[in-house]
Amino acid sequence: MDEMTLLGNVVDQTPLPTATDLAPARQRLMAALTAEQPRKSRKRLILSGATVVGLAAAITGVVAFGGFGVAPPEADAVEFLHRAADVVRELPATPPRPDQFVYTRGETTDGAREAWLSADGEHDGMIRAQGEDTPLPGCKDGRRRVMRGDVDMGMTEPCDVWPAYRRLPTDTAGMRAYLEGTPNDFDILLHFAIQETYVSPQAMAALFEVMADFPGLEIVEDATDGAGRHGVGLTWAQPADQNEVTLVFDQETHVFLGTEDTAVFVHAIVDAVGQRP
Amino acid sequence: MPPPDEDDAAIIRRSLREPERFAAIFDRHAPHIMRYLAHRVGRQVADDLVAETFLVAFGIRGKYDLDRPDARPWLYGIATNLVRRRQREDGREYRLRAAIVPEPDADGHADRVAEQVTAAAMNQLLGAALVELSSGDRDVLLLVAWEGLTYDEVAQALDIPVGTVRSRLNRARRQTRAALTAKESVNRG
Repeated sequence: MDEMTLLGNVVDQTPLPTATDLAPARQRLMAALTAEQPRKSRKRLILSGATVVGLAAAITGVVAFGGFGVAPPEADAVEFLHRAADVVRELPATPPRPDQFVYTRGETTDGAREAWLSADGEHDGMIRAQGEDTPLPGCKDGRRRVMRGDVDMGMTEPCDVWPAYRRLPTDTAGMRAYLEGTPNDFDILLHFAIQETYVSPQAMAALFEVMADFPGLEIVEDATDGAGRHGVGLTWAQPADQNEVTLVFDQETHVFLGTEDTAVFVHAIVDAVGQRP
Repeated sequence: MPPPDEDDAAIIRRSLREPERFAAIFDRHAPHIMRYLAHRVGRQVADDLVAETFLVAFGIRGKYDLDRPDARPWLYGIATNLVRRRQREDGREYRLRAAIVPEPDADGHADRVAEQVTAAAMNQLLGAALVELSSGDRDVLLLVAWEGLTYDEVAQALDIPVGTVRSRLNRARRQTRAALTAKESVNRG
């Protein structure tokens, strides 16, 4: 009997596991499947579904369970983030008024994209991508108009208000406590990554300082963002079931450029939907 | 349930917008992946890794090459990576389950018991030989011998050229055979 037959016999003699054997694993998978919203509806709000949510979940996961058998942050990466924090902290704060919009132009895996997001979340915003304008009805007093694409269905539905600007802690300890205390509030993380909301320079600096403590933090040499711009990549220990995210910063200026799948070109405050800075 | 003629790529494509469709991939392939994992790392760890395999697969399904109708190589690749990672984390090699055979039947016929004892001895030798292989060679050998993957499928699973699959398999077979015959002759001598 040769070694291949011997090996094959080992497996042939073992019965396949039954549905009962597999039930716990199936249950874990189903929980993940049902937790994920269909991509279609999500797309209206955020850039590139999988990546960005991956980032949010990853950061939260690390914040929540950080330090589990993972290498400490790499010194170079920590230093880079501290410098990035120092740079951004010096920028002037330009918070929008409640009736204004946060405008961004960027690049995603789906192509170019522009967004006008309501600062207080109560006004109607818009996403322009792939040659289509998708309205984002504002959420006022817990209700918003129901839209299917750009067709107004003539009714309202319950909603959570989703402001593009909210006051966030501007010190490291406060930001850490905020992140740890609100594991399900992905907004800040989500939009920190893609810059479609307004995060004050001081809050952004605090976020970088918190990131500098992430387990497994390391530099990815010569990373490129979603538009192919070269820069310094930063990544950290992320759950295996997430798409791994690398944040890309400009090597010289330390300005955040995007992720490996996304890029931000313009970020500004405007008075109306459709208006560009 | 998907129509039975729907291939894995079609299911994965649909699951991008309808995540719950991905359950069909689990139902189709989990039994074999689980058995493979159980042989590699033992039943208990396999329980965990089979769930992780499909969670990882679900997480990266956006990168699945939709030109490949059969998802098995992809799933075996993920499972194999998880085995390696777990082994690294634990800082030790898992005892290969190839060394374990079922207990002889209590009321078994004497010949059959003898047969099983011989099989057990052979399997122990085999298990010892496998542990000696480099992990890359072992992955190739087990995916071919246990799981019946073709060279092309192993190449896809492990993301290595087909030529490398061939050379690793040749080396793994040669070493395993040498270990078996050497030990056999010692036993006989």
